[in-house]
Amino acid sequence: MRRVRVLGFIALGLLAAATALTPAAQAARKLRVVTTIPDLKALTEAVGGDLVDVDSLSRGVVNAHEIEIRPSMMLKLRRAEVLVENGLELDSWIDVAIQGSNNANIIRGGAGLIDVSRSLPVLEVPTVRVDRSMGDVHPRGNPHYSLDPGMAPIITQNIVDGLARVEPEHRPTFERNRQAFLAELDRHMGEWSKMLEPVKGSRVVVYHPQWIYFLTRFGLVEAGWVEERPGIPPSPQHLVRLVRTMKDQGVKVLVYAPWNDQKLAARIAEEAGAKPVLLAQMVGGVKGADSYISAVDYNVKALAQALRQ
Amino acid sequence: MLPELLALLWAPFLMCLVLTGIHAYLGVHVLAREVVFVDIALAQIAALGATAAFLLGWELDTWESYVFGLTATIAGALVLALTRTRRRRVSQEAVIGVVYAASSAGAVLLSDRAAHGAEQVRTMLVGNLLAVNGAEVVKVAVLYGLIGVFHWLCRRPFFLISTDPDGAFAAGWRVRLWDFLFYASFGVVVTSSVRIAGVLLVFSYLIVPALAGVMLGASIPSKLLIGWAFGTFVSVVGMIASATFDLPTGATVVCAFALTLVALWAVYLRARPAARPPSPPLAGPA
Repeated sequence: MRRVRVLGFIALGLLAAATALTPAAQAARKLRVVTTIPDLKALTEAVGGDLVDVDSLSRGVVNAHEIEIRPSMMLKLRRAEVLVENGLELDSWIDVAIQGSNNANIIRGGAGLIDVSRSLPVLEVPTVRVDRSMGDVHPRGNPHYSLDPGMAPIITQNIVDGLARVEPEHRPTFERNRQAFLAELDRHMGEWSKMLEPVKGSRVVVYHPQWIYFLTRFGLVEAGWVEERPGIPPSPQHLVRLVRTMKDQGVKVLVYAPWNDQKLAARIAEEAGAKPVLLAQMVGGVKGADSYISAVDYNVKALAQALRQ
Repeated sequence: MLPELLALLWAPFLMCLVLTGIHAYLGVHVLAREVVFVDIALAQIAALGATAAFLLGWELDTWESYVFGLTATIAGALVLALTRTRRRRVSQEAVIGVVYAASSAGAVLLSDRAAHGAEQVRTMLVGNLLAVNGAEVVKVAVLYGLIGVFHWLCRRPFFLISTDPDGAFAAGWRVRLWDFLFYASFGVVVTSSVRIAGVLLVFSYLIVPALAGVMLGASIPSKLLIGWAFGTFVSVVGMIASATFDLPTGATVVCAFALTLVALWAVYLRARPAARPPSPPLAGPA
Protein backbone atom coordinates (compact mmCIF):
# COMPACT_ATOMS: atom_id res chain seq x y z
CA MET A 1 0.00 0.00 0.00
CA ARG A 2 2.83 2.35 0.92
CA ARG A 3 4.58 1.65 -2.37
CA VAL A 4 1.46 2.58 -4.31
CA ARG A 5 1.17 5.86 -2.44
CA VAL A 6 4.78 6.71 -3.16
CA LEU A 7 4.31 5.92 -6.82
CA GLY A 8 1.15 8.01 -6.80
CA PHE A 9 3.03 11.02 -5.42
CA ILE A 10 5.78 10.62 -7.96
CA ALA A 11 3.24 10.50 -10.75
CA LEU A 12 1.51 13.61 -9.46
CA GLY A 13 4.85 15.32 -9.18
CA LEU A 14 5.73 14.51 -12.75
CA LEU A 15 2.33 15.71 -13.91
CA ALA A 16 2.76 18.97 -12.03
CA ALA A 17 6.19 19.44 -13.53
CA ALA A 18 4.85 18.76 -16.99
CA THR A 19 2.01 21.22 -16.50
CA ALA A 20 4.45 23.79 -15.16
CA LEU A 21 6.50 23.57 -18.32
CA THR A 22 3.61 24.07 -20.70
CA PRO A 23 2.04 27.37 -19.64
CA ALA A 24 4.09 29.13 -22.29
CA ALA A 25 2.60 26.94 -24.99
CA GLN A 26 -0.86 27.27 -23.48
CA ALA A 27 -0.77 31.02 -23.48
CA ALA A 28 0.44 31.28 -27.12
CA ARG A 29 -1.89 28.64 -28.60
CA LYS A 30 -1.68 28.95 -32.32
CA LEU A 31 -4.57 28.92 -34.72
CA ARG A 32 -4.56 25.67 -36.66
CA VAL A 33 -4.71 26.48 -40.35
CA VAL A 34 -4.67 24.11 -43.29
CA THR A 35 -4.15 25.27 -46.86
CA THR A 36 -4.65 23.35 -50.09
CA ILE A 37 -1.50 24.55 -51.88
CA PRO A 38 1.90 25.68 -50.58
CA ASP A 39 1.59 29.21 -52.00
CA LEU A 40 -1.33 29.83 -49.69
CA LYS A 41 0.63 28.37 -46.78
CA ALA A 42 3.42 30.85 -47.44
CA LEU A 43 1.02 33.78 -47.66
CA THR A 44 -0.94 32.71 -44.58
CA GLU A 45 2.27 32.50 -42.59
CA ALA A 46 3.23 35.95 -43.83
CA VAL A 47 -0.09 37.32 -42.57
CA GLY A 48 -0.46 35.22 -39.42
CA GLY A 49 3.11 35.13 -38.18
CA ASP A 50 3.40 33.55 -34.74
CA LEU A 51 -0.33 33.33 -34.29
CA VAL A 52 -0.84 30.55 -36.81
CA ASP A 53 0.37 27.03 -37.33
CA VAL A 54 -0.05 26.32 -41.02
CA ASP A 55 0.03 23.05 -42.94
CA SER A 56 -0.25 22.59 -46.70
CA LEU A 57 -2.00 19.53 -48.11
CA SER A 58 0.08 19.45 -51.28
CA ARG A 59 3.66 20.11 -52.25
CA GLY A 60 5.04 22.54 -54.76
CA VAL A 61 5.97 20.01 -57.41
CA VAL A 62 2.61 18.34 -57.92
CA ASN A 63 -0.17 18.82 -60.43
CA ALA A 64 -2.54 20.79 -58.25
CA HIS A 65 -5.63 19.79 -60.25
CA GLU A 66 -5.61 16.18 -59.14
CA ILE A 67 -4.46 15.37 -55.66
CA GLU A 68 -5.12 11.97 -54.10
CA ILE A 69 -6.82 12.30 -50.75
CA ARG A 70 -4.87 10.54 -48.05
CA PRO A 71 -6.01 9.60 -44.54
CA SER A 72 -3.47 12.01 -43.04
CA MET A 73 -5.15 14.87 -44.92
CA MET A 74 -8.53 14.02 -43.44
CA LEU A 75 -6.92 13.96 -40.01
CA LYS A 76 -5.41 17.39 -40.51
CA LEU A 77 -8.72 18.73 -41.77
CA ARG A 78 -10.57 17.32 -38.81
CA ARG A 79 -8.34 19.27 -36.43
CA ALA A 80 -8.25 22.42 -38.53
CA GLU A 81 -9.85 25.63 -37.38
CA VAL A 82 -9.33 27.37 -40.69
CA LEU A 83 -9.05 26.07 -44.25
CA VAL A 84 -7.58 28.31 -46.92
CA GLU A 85 -8.40 27.30 -50.47
CA ASN A 86 -7.49 28.61 -53.90
CA GLY A 87 -10.98 28.41 -55.34
CA LEU A 88 -11.95 28.65 -59.03
CA GLU A 89 -12.20 24.86 -58.95
CA LEU A 90 -8.47 24.25 -58.78
CA ASP A 91 -8.84 22.46 -55.48
CA SER A 92 -12.23 20.86 -55.93
CA TRP A 93 -10.50 17.64 -54.89
CA ILE A 94 -10.69 18.96 -51.34
CA ASP A 95 -14.49 18.77 -51.19
CA VAL A 96 -14.59 15.04 -50.55
CA ALA A 97 -12.03 15.40 -47.77
CA ILE A 98 -13.96 18.27 -46.21
CA GLN A 99 -17.11 16.18 -46.07
CA GLY A 100 -15.19 13.27 -44.64
CA SER A 101 -13.55 15.40 -41.97
CA ASN A 102 -16.87 16.23 -40.30
CA ASN A 103 -15.49 19.57 -39.19
CA ALA A 104 -18.16 22.26 -38.84
CA ASN A 105 -15.57 25.04 -39.11
CA ILE A 106 -14.56 24.30 -42.65
CA ILE A 107 -17.66 23.10 -44.46
CA ARG A 108 -19.16 25.38 -47.13
CA GLY A 109 -20.47 28.39 -45.30
CA GLY A 110 -18.42 27.62 -42.23
CA ALA A 111 -16.65 30.45 -40.47
CA GLY A 112 -13.26 28.88 -40.98
CA LEU A 113 -13.35 28.42 -44.77
CA ILE A 114 -11.41 31.06 -46.70
CA ASP A 115 -11.65 31.18 -50.47
CA VAL A 116 -8.89 33.57 -51.48
CA SER A 117 -10.23 34.05 -55.00
CA ARG A 118 -12.95 36.40 -53.76
CA SER A 119 -12.97 39.66 -55.75
CA LEU A 120 -9.97 38.53 -57.71
CA PRO A 121 -9.73 39.76 -61.33
CA VAL A 122 -9.90 36.38 -63.07
CA LEU A 123 -8.31 35.82 -66.47
CA GLU A 124 -9.46 33.51 -69.26
CA VAL A 125 -13.04 33.17 -68.13
CA PRO A 126 -14.59 31.02 -70.86
CA THR A 127 -17.24 32.73 -72.93
CA VAL A 128 -18.68 29.56 -74.42
CA ARG A 129 -20.21 26.59 -72.67
CA VAL A 130 -17.56 24.32 -71.24
CA ASP A 131 -17.98 20.57 -70.96
CA ARG A 132 -15.92 17.45 -70.41
CA SER A 133 -15.03 17.12 -74.09
CA MET A 134 -12.59 19.98 -73.65
CA GLY A 135 -10.45 18.20 -71.10
CA ASP A 136 -10.42 19.62 -67.62
CA VAL A 137 -10.61 23.24 -68.71
CA HIS A 138 -11.62 25.42 -65.82
CA PRO A 139 -15.17 26.63 -66.23
CA ARG A 140 -14.71 29.60 -63.94
CA GLY A 141 -11.52 30.94 -65.45
CA ASN A 142 -7.82 30.26 -65.04
CA PRO A 143 -7.17 29.40 -61.40
CA HIS A 144 -3.37 29.57 -61.44
CA TYR A 145 -3.00 33.04 -59.97
CA SER A 146 -1.31 32.39 -56.66
CA LEU A 147 2.31 32.93 -57.68
CA ASP A 148 1.60 36.21 -59.49
CA PRO A 149 3.03 38.75 -57.01
CA GLY A 150 0.47 41.33 -58.17
CA MET A 151 -2.29 39.15 -56.75
CA ALA A 152 -0.70 39.01 -53.31
CA PRO A 153 -2.53 42.10 -51.99
CA ILE A 154 -5.96 40.61 -52.74
CA ILE A 155 -5.05 37.12 -51.57
CA THR A 156 -3.58 38.38 -48.30
CA GLN A 157 -6.56 40.68 -47.74
CA ASN A 158 -8.88 37.70 -48.06
CA ILE A 159 -6.71 35.74 -45.64
CA VAL A 160 -6.72 38.62 -43.13
CA ASP A 161 -10.50 38.92 -43.35
CA GLY A 162 -10.92 35.19 -42.97
CA LEU A 163 -8.56 34.84 -40.02
CA ALA A 164 -10.14 37.86 -38.37
CA ARG A 165 -13.55 36.21 -38.63
CA VAL A 166 -12.24 33.44 -36.41
CA GLU A 167 -10.00 35.55 -34.14
CA PRO A 168 -11.24 39.15 -34.34
CA GLU A 169 -9.00 40.29 -31.48
CA HIS A 170 -5.93 39.69 -33.64
CA ARG A 171 -7.05 41.64 -36.68
CA PRO A 172 -4.65 44.56 -36.05
CA THR A 173 -1.71 42.15 -35.88
CA PHE A 174 -2.75 40.41 -39.09
CA GLU A 175 -3.09 43.76 -40.84
CA ARG A 176 0.35 44.86 -39.62
CA ASN A 177 1.95 41.64 -40.81
CA ARG A 178 0.24 41.97 -44.15
CA GLN A 179 1.52 45.51 -44.64
CA ALA A 180 5.05 44.49 -43.74
CA PHE A 181 4.97 41.59 -46.17
CA LEU A 182 3.50 43.65 -49.01
CA ALA A 183 6.11 46.33 -48.42
CA GLU A 184 8.89 43.80 -48.81
CA LEU A 185 7.20 42.34 -51.86
CA ASP A 186 6.95 45.83 -53.38
CA ARG A 187 10.67 46.34 -52.98
CA HIS A 188 11.32 43.14 -54.88
CA MET A 189 8.73 44.01 -57.52
CA GLY A 190 10.86 46.99 -58.43
CA GLU A 191 13.87 44.77 -59.04
CA TRP A 192 11.86 42.15 -60.89
CA SER A 193 10.26 44.65 -63.23
CA LYS A 194 13.68 46.06 -64.02
CA MET A 195 15.02 42.58 -64.79
CA LEU A 196 12.26 41.79 -67.25
CA GLU A 197 11.94 45.29 -68.74
CA PRO A 198 14.42 44.66 -71.57
CA VAL A 199 12.49 41.61 -72.76
CA LYS A 200 8.99 43.01 -72.36
CA GLY A 201 6.67 41.82 -75.08
CA SER A 202 8.59 38.58 -75.67
CA ARG A 203 6.52 35.62 -76.68
CA VAL A 204 6.72 32.45 -74.65
CA VAL A 205 5.14 29.02 -75.08
CA VAL A 206 3.98 27.15 -71.99
CA TYR A 207 3.47 23.46 -71.39
CA HIS A 208 0.23 23.76 -69.47
CA PRO A 209 -1.66 27.08 -69.36
CA GLN A 210 -0.88 27.88 -65.75
CA TRP A 211 1.41 30.86 -66.26
CA ILE A 212 -0.87 33.50 -67.73
CA TYR A 213 -1.09 35.70 -64.62
CA PHE A 214 2.65 35.70 -64.07
CA LEU A 215 3.46 36.36 -67.72
CA THR A 216 0.90 39.15 -68.07
CA ARG A 217 2.15 40.79 -64.88
CA PHE A 218 5.58 41.21 -66.39
CA GLY A 219 4.50 42.14 -69.89
CA LEU A 220 5.26 38.80 -71.55
CA VAL A 221 2.96 37.13 -74.06
CA GLU A 222 1.76 33.54 -73.96
CA ALA A 223 1.99 32.32 -77.56
CA GLY A 224 0.58 28.83 -77.17
CA TRP A 225 0.56 25.73 -75.03
CA VAL A 226 1.61 22.12 -75.41
CA GLU A 227 -1.20 20.40 -73.56
CA GLU A 228 -3.99 21.88 -75.64
CA ARG A 229 -6.53 20.13 -73.48
CA PRO A 230 -4.93 20.02 -70.07
CA GLY A 231 -4.78 16.46 -68.83
CA ILE A 232 -4.90 14.84 -72.26
CA PRO A 233 -1.63 14.17 -74.16
CA PRO A 234 -1.07 16.34 -77.25
CA SER A 235 -1.62 14.97 -80.76
CA PRO A 236 0.97 15.16 -83.57
CA GLN A 237 -1.02 17.78 -85.47
CA HIS A 238 -1.20 20.03 -82.47
CA LEU A 239 2.53 19.74 -81.91
CA VAL A 240 3.24 20.54 -85.55
CA ARG A 241 1.05 23.65 -85.37
CA LEU A 242 2.75 24.67 -82.14
CA VAL A 243 6.25 24.27 -83.56
CA ARG A 244 5.21 26.25 -86.61
CA THR A 245 3.86 29.03 -84.39
CA MET A 246 7.06 29.04 -82.38
CA LYS A 247 9.18 29.37 -85.50
CA ASP A 248 6.96 32.02 -87.10
CA GLN A 249 6.74 34.17 -84.00
CA GLY A 250 10.33 33.74 -82.87
CA VAL A 251 9.44 32.04 -79.60
CA LYS A 252 12.67 31.20 -77.82
CA VAL A 253 11.39 29.79 -74.54
CA LEU A 254 9.14 26.90 -73.56
CA VAL A 255 8.08 27.12 -69.92
CA TYR A 256 7.26 23.95 -68.07
CA ALA A 257 6.55 22.84 -64.49
CA PRO A 258 8.07 19.94 -62.52
CA TRP A 259 5.09 17.70 -63.17
CA ASN A 260 5.14 18.20 -66.93
CA ASP A 261 6.76 15.80 -69.36
CA GLN A 262 10.28 17.17 -69.50
CA LYS A 263 11.26 14.86 -72.33
CA LEU A 264 8.46 16.04 -74.58
CA ALA A 265 9.14 19.66 -73.67
CA ALA A 266 12.78 19.21 -74.65
CA ARG A 267 11.81 17.53 -77.94
CA ILE A 268 9.43 20.31 -78.94
CA ALA A 269 11.88 23.01 -77.97
CA GLU A 270 14.61 21.31 -79.95
CA GLU A 271 12.35 21.06 -82.99
CA ALA A 272 11.42 24.74 -82.75
CA GLY A 273 14.88 26.07 -81.93
CA ALA A 274 13.85 27.17 -78.46
CA LYS A 275 14.93 26.45 -74.92
CA PRO A 276 12.92 24.53 -72.33
CA VAL A 277 12.85 26.44 -69.03
CA LEU A 278 11.74 24.86 -65.77
CA LEU A 279 9.94 27.31 -63.51
CA ALA A 280 8.56 26.98 -59.99
CA GLN A 281 4.82 26.66 -60.45
CA MET A 282 4.28 26.97 -56.71
CA VAL A 283 6.36 27.60 -53.61
CA GLY A 284 8.71 24.65 -53.26
CA GLY A 285 8.34 23.71 -56.91
CA VAL A 286 12.06 23.80 -57.57
CA LYS A 287 15.14 23.89 -55.35
CA GLY A 288 15.76 27.39 -54.12
CA ALA A 289 12.11 28.42 -54.30
CA ASP A 290 11.15 27.66 -50.74
CA SER A 291 9.45 30.90 -49.85
CA TYR A 292 6.96 33.06 -51.74
CA ILE A 293 9.47 35.74 -52.58
CA SER A 294 12.26 33.33 -53.48
CA ALA A 295 9.90 31.38 -55.73
CA VAL A 296 8.88 34.47 -57.70
CA ASP A 297 12.51 35.58 -57.68
CA TYR A 298 13.59 32.24 -59.13
CA ASN A 299 11.00 32.45 -61.88
CA VAL A 300 11.84 36.02 -62.82
CA LYS A 301 15.57 35.33 -62.92
CA ALA A 302 15.18 32.12 -64.92
CA LEU A 303 12.92 33.78 -67.47
CA ALA A 304 15.07 36.89 -67.74
CA GLN A 305 18.17 34.82 -68.34
CA ALA A 306 16.51 32.59 -70.94
CA LEU A 307 14.89 35.46 -72.81
CA ARG A 308 17.95 37.65 -72.90
CA GLN A 309 19.95 35.09 -74.87
CA MET B 1 1.66 20.15 -92.60
CA LEU B 2 3.01 16.91 -94.08
CA PRO B 3 6.75 17.63 -94.05
CA GLU B 4 6.47 18.94 -90.50
CA LEU B 5 4.51 15.88 -89.43
CA LEU B 6 7.20 13.70 -90.93
CA ALA B 7 9.89 15.66 -89.13
CA LEU B 8 8.09 15.00 -85.87
CA LEU B 9 7.09 11.40 -86.53
CA TRP B 10 10.04 9.77 -88.32
CA ALA B 11 11.91 8.92 -85.11
CA PRO B 12 8.82 7.56 -83.31
CA PHE B 13 8.00 5.52 -86.40
CA LEU B 14 11.47 3.98 -86.58
CA MET B 15 11.17 3.19 -82.90
CA CYS B 16 7.93 1.35 -83.64
CA LEU B 17 9.77 -0.75 -86.22
CA VAL B 18 12.49 -1.58 -83.71
CA LEU B 19 9.84 -2.52 -81.16
CA THR B 20 8.10 -4.71 -83.74
CA GLY B 21 11.32 -6.53 -84.53
CA ILE B 22 12.12 -7.72 -81.04
CA HIS B 23 8.63 -7.99 -79.61
CA ALA B 24 7.07 -10.01 -82.41
CA TYR B 25 9.84 -12.57 -81.93
CA LEU B 26 9.48 -12.66 -78.14
CA GLY B 27 5.72 -12.86 -78.57
CA VAL B 28 5.98 -16.13 -80.47
CA HIS B 29 7.75 -17.59 -77.46
CA VAL B 30 5.28 -16.09 -75.03
CA LEU B 31 2.32 -17.55 -76.89
CA ALA B 32 3.98 -20.93 -77.12
CA ARG B 33 4.63 -20.90 -73.40
CA GLU B 34 1.06 -19.74 -72.78
CA VAL B 35 2.20 -17.04 -70.40
CA VAL B 36 0.66 -14.10 -72.18
CA PHE B 37 0.48 -11.91 -69.14
CA VAL B 38 4.12 -12.34 -68.25
CA ASP B 39 4.82 -9.39 -70.49
CA ILE B 40 2.40 -7.07 -68.85
CA ALA B 41 3.55 -8.25 -65.42
CA LEU B 42 7.23 -7.70 -66.22
CA ALA B 43 6.40 -4.38 -67.85
CA GLN B 44 4.59 -3.31 -64.74
CA ILE B 45 7.50 -4.47 -62.57
CA ALA B 46 9.82 -2.39 -64.74
CA ALA B 47 7.50 0.57 -64.21
CA LEU B 48 7.56 -0.13 -60.48
CA GLY B 49 11.36 -0.12 -60.48
CA ALA B 50 11.40 3.19 -62.33
CA THR B 51 8.89 4.62 -59.87
CA ALA B 52 11.09 3.54 -56.96
CA ALA B 53 14.05 5.26 -58.59
CA PHE B 54 11.86 8.31 -59.10
CA LEU B 55 11.08 8.36 -55.40
CA LEU B 56 14.77 8.46 -54.67
CA GLY B 57 15.21 11.42 -56.95
CA TRP B 58 16.22 9.92 -60.27
CA GLU B 59 14.21 11.09 -63.24
CA LEU B 60 13.01 8.70 -65.88
CA ASP B 61 15.79 9.29 -68.38
CA THR B 62 18.76 8.64 -66.06
CA TRP B 63 20.81 5.47 -66.04
CA GLU B 64 20.06 5.00 -62.35
CA SER B 65 16.37 4.80 -63.17
CA TYR B 66 17.11 2.25 -65.87
CA VAL B 67 19.14 0.10 -63.47
CA PHE B 68 16.32 0.19 -60.93
CA GLY B 69 13.83 -0.93 -63.55
CA LEU B 70 16.16 -3.63 -64.77
CA THR B 71 16.91 -4.97 -61.30
CA ALA B 72 13.23 -5.16 -60.52
CA THR B 73 12.56 -6.99 -63.78
CA ILE B 74 15.38 -9.47 -63.26
CA ALA B 75 13.99 -10.21 -59.80
CA GLY B 76 10.60 -10.72 -61.39
CA ALA B 77 12.18 -12.98 -63.99
CA LEU B 78 13.71 -15.03 -61.20
CA VAL B 79 10.33 -15.44 -59.54
CA LEU B 80 8.78 -16.54 -62.79
CA ALA B 81 11.53 -19.02 -63.57
CA LEU B 82 11.40 -20.53 -60.12
CA THR B 83 7.62 -20.86 -60.05
CA ARG B 84 7.45 -22.98 -63.15
CA THR B 85 6.60 -26.40 -61.79
CA ARG B 86 6.85 -29.53 -63.82
CA ARG B 87 3.49 -30.74 -62.75
CA ARG B 88 1.77 -27.39 -63.13
CA ARG B 89 -0.07 -27.73 -59.85
CA VAL B 90 -0.26 -24.00 -59.52
CA SER B 91 -1.01 -22.28 -62.79
CA GLN B 92 1.82 -19.95 -63.58
CA GLU B 93 -0.70 -17.51 -64.97
CA ALA B 94 -2.10 -17.10 -61.46
CA VAL B 95 1.35 -16.22 -60.14
CA ILE B 96 1.81 -13.76 -62.97
CA GLY B 97 -1.55 -12.19 -62.26
CA VAL B 98 -0.65 -11.64 -58.63
CA VAL B 99 2.74 -10.23 -59.58
CA TYR B 100 1.07 -7.79 -61.97
CA ALA B 101 -1.51 -6.62 -59.43
CA ALA B 102 1.05 -6.25 -56.67
CA SER B 103 3.51 -4.28 -58.77
CA SER B 104 0.76 -2.01 -60.09
CA ALA B 105 -0.46 -1.26 -56.60
CA GLY B 106 3.12 -0.88 -55.42
CA ALA B 107 3.75 1.69 -58.13
CA VAL B 108 0.67 3.65 -57.05
CA LEU B 109 1.81 3.64 -53.44
CA LEU B 110 5.32 4.70 -54.33
CA SER B 111 4.22 7.41 -56.70
CA ASP B 112 1.89 8.72 -54.05
CA ARG B 113 5.00 9.42 -52.01
CA ALA B 114 6.93 10.82 -54.94
CA ALA B 115 6.68 14.32 -56.30
CA HIS B 116 4.40 14.06 -59.29
CA GLY B 117 3.41 10.45 -59.11
CA ALA B 118 0.11 10.49 -60.97
CA GLU B 119 1.73 11.81 -64.13
CA GLN B 120 4.51 9.27 -63.76
CA VAL B 121 2.05 6.42 -63.52
CA ARG B 122 0.11 7.68 -66.51
CA THR B 123 3.22 8.08 -68.66
CA MET B 124 4.31 4.55 -67.89
CA LEU B 125 0.93 3.34 -69.07
CA VAL B 126 0.60 5.12 -72.42
CA GLY B 127 4.25 5.91 -73.03
CA ASN B 128 5.88 8.84 -74.68
CA LEU B 129 6.47 7.96 -78.32
CA LEU B 130 6.40 11.51 -79.63
CA ALA B 131 9.33 12.52 -77.45
CA VAL B 132 11.67 9.98 -79.06
CA ASN B 133 14.65 11.31 -81.03
CA GLY B 134 17.05 9.69 -83.46
CA ALA B 135 19.81 9.01 -80.96
CA GLU B 136 17.46 7.05 -78.78
CA VAL B 137 16.30 4.92 -81.72
CA VAL B 138 19.91 3.99 -82.46
CA LYS B 139 20.65 3.14 -78.83
CA VAL B 140 17.62 0.90 -78.52
CA ALA B 141 18.19 -0.74 -81.90
CA VAL B 142 21.74 -1.66 -80.92
CA LEU B 143 20.62 -3.07 -77.56
CA TYR B 144 17.84 -5.12 -79.08
CA GLY B 145 20.17 -6.25 -81.83
CA LEU B 146 22.55 -7.65 -79.23
CA ILE B 147 19.70 -9.43 -77.49
CA GLY B 148 18.59 -10.78 -80.84
CA VAL B 149 22.06 -12.19 -81.40
CA PHE B 150 21.98 -13.78 -77.96
CA HIS B 151 18.65 -15.40 -78.73
CA TRP B 152 19.90 -16.58 -82.11
CA LEU B 153 22.86 -18.28 -80.43
CA CYS B 154 20.59 -19.91 -77.86
CA ARG B 155 17.77 -20.66 -80.25
CA ARG B 156 17.80 -24.42 -79.76
CA PRO B 157 17.17 -24.53 -76.02
CA PHE B 158 14.88 -21.49 -76.07
CA PHE B 159 12.57 -22.84 -78.73
CA LEU B 160 12.64 -26.33 -77.35
CA ILE B 161 11.66 -25.21 -73.87
CA SER B 162 8.97 -22.91 -75.22
CA THR B 163 7.31 -25.46 -77.44
CA ASP B 164 7.99 -28.73 -75.64
CA PRO B 165 9.02 -28.24 -72.02
CA ASP B 166 8.54 -31.87 -71.03
CA GLY B 167 10.72 -32.98 -73.90
CA ALA B 168 13.33 -30.47 -72.80
CA PHE B 169 13.26 -31.82 -69.24
CA ALA B 170 13.56 -35.33 -70.61
CA ALA B 171 16.42 -34.40 -72.89
CA GLY B 172 18.37 -33.17 -69.90
CA TRP B 173 18.30 -29.42 -70.51
CA ARG B 174 18.51 -27.33 -67.35
CA VAL B 175 15.10 -25.85 -67.92
CA ARG B 176 15.05 -23.48 -64.93
CA LEU B 177 18.36 -21.92 -65.95
CA TRP B 178 17.30 -21.42 -69.55
CA ASP B 179 13.97 -20.07 -68.34
CA PHE B 180 15.78 -17.54 -66.22
CA LEU B 181 18.00 -16.51 -69.12
CA PHE B 182 14.96 -16.16 -71.34
CA TYR B 183 12.99 -14.08 -68.85
CA ALA B 184 16.02 -12.00 -67.94
CA SER B 185 16.72 -11.03 -71.54
CA PHE B 186 13.00 -10.53 -71.98
CA GLY B 187 13.12 -8.27 -68.93
CA VAL B 188 15.88 -6.14 -70.42
CA VAL B 189 13.77 -5.58 -73.51
CA VAL B 190 10.63 -4.82 -71.57
CA THR B 191 12.39 -2.41 -69.21
CA SER B 192 13.66 -0.38 -72.13
CA SER B 193 10.45 -0.53 -74.12
CA VAL B 194 8.18 0.49 -71.27
CA ARG B 195 9.94 3.80 -70.75
CA ILE B 196 9.39 4.69 -74.36
CA ALA B 197 6.11 3.13 -75.36
CA GLY B 198 4.36 2.42 -72.08
CA VAL B 199 2.94 -0.79 -70.68
CA LEU B 200 -0.11 -1.04 -72.94
CA LEU B 201 1.71 -0.50 -76.19
CA VAL B 202 4.50 -2.89 -75.25
CA PHE B 203 1.90 -5.51 -74.46
CA SER B 204 0.27 -4.93 -77.85
CA TYR B 205 3.57 -5.24 -79.72
CA LEU B 206 4.32 -8.42 -77.91
CA ILE B 207 1.07 -10.28 -78.31
CA VAL B 208 -0.78 -9.06 -81.36
CA PRO B 209 1.77 -9.56 -84.16
CA ALA B 210 2.64 -12.96 -82.72
CA LEU B 211 -1.06 -13.83 -82.61
CA ALA B 212 -1.36 -12.91 -86.26
CA GLY B 213 1.66 -15.08 -87.00
CA VAL B 214 0.24 -18.01 -85.08
CA MET B 215 -3.13 -17.66 -86.79
CA LEU B 216 -1.74 -17.54 -90.29
CA GLY B 217 1.60 -19.32 -90.14
CA ALA B 218 2.58 -22.92 -89.63
CA SER B 219 6.32 -23.02 -89.02
CA ILE B 220 8.28 -20.80 -86.69
CA PRO B 221 9.97 -18.81 -89.48
CA SER B 222 6.64 -18.12 -91.18
CA LYS B 223 5.06 -17.09 -87.88
CA LEU B 224 7.93 -14.68 -87.34
CA LEU B 225 7.75 -13.18 -90.80
CA ILE B 226 3.99 -12.74 -90.63
CA GLY B 227 4.33 -11.22 -87.17
CA TRP B 228 6.93 -8.72 -88.39
CA ALA B 229 4.85 -7.80 -91.40
CA PHE B 230 1.75 -7.38 -89.28
CA GLY B 231 3.54 -5.27 -86.68
CA THR B 232 5.02 -3.03 -89.34
CA PHE B 233 1.68 -2.62 -91.06
CA VAL B 234 -0.17 -1.69 -87.89
CA SER B 235 2.58 0.73 -86.84
CA VAL B 236 2.19 2.53 -90.16
CA VAL B 237 -1.60 2.59 -89.93
CA GLY B 238 -1.55 3.69 -86.30
CA MET B 239 0.85 6.57 -86.89
CA ILE B 240 -1.05 7.74 -89.94
CA ALA B 241 -4.33 7.57 -88.00
CA SER B 242 -2.82 9.51 -85.13
CA ALA B 243 -1.54 12.18 -87.49
CA THR B 244 -4.69 12.39 -89.60
CA PHE B 245 -7.35 12.22 -86.93
CA ASP B 246 -5.46 14.38 -84.45
CA LEU B 247 -5.21 11.74 -81.72
CA PRO B 248 -2.56 10.94 -79.09
CA THR B 249 -0.14 8.55 -80.74
CA GLY B 250 0.44 5.80 -78.18
CA ALA B 251 -3.21 5.13 -77.50
CA THR B 252 -4.03 5.22 -81.22
CA VAL B 253 -1.49 2.54 -82.07
CA VAL B 254 -2.84 0.30 -79.29
CA CYS B 255 -6.35 0.65 -80.68
CA ALA B 256 -5.05 0.09 -84.21
CA PHE B 257 -3.59 -3.22 -83.04
CA ALA B 258 -6.86 -4.27 -81.52
CA LEU B 259 -8.97 -3.30 -84.52
CA THR B 260 -6.63 -4.89 -87.05
CA LEU B 261 -6.60 -8.06 -85.00
CA VAL B 262 -10.37 -8.16 -84.95
CA ALA B 263 -10.44 -7.69 -88.72
CA LEU B 264 -7.85 -10.42 -89.15
CA TRP B 265 -9.80 -12.72 -86.88
CA ALA B 266 -12.95 -12.21 -88.96
CA VAL B 267 -11.04 -13.04 -92.14
CA TYR B 268 -9.42 -16.04 -90.49
CA LEU B 269 -12.73 -17.47 -89.29
CA ARG B 270 -14.26 -17.00 -92.73
CA ALA B 271 -11.32 -18.47 -94.60
CA ARG B 272 -10.44 -21.55 -92.61
CA PRO B 273 -12.14 -24.81 -93.64
CA ALA B 274 -15.04 -26.14 -91.54
CA ALA B 275 -13.53 -28.22 -88.73
CA ARG B 276 -16.60 -29.77 -87.12
CA PRO B 277 -17.65 -33.18 -88.38
CA PRO B 278 -21.21 -33.45 -89.68
CA SER B 279 -23.68 -34.18 -86.87
CA PRO B 280 -24.97 -37.77 -86.66
CA PRO B 281 -28.32 -38.40 -88.30
CA LEU B 282 -31.38 -38.21 -86.07
CA ALA B 283 -32.54 -41.56 -84.78
CA GLY B 284 -35.41 -42.78 -86.89
CA PRO B 285 -38.65 -44.02 -85.44
CA ALA B 286 -38.05 -47.06 -83.32
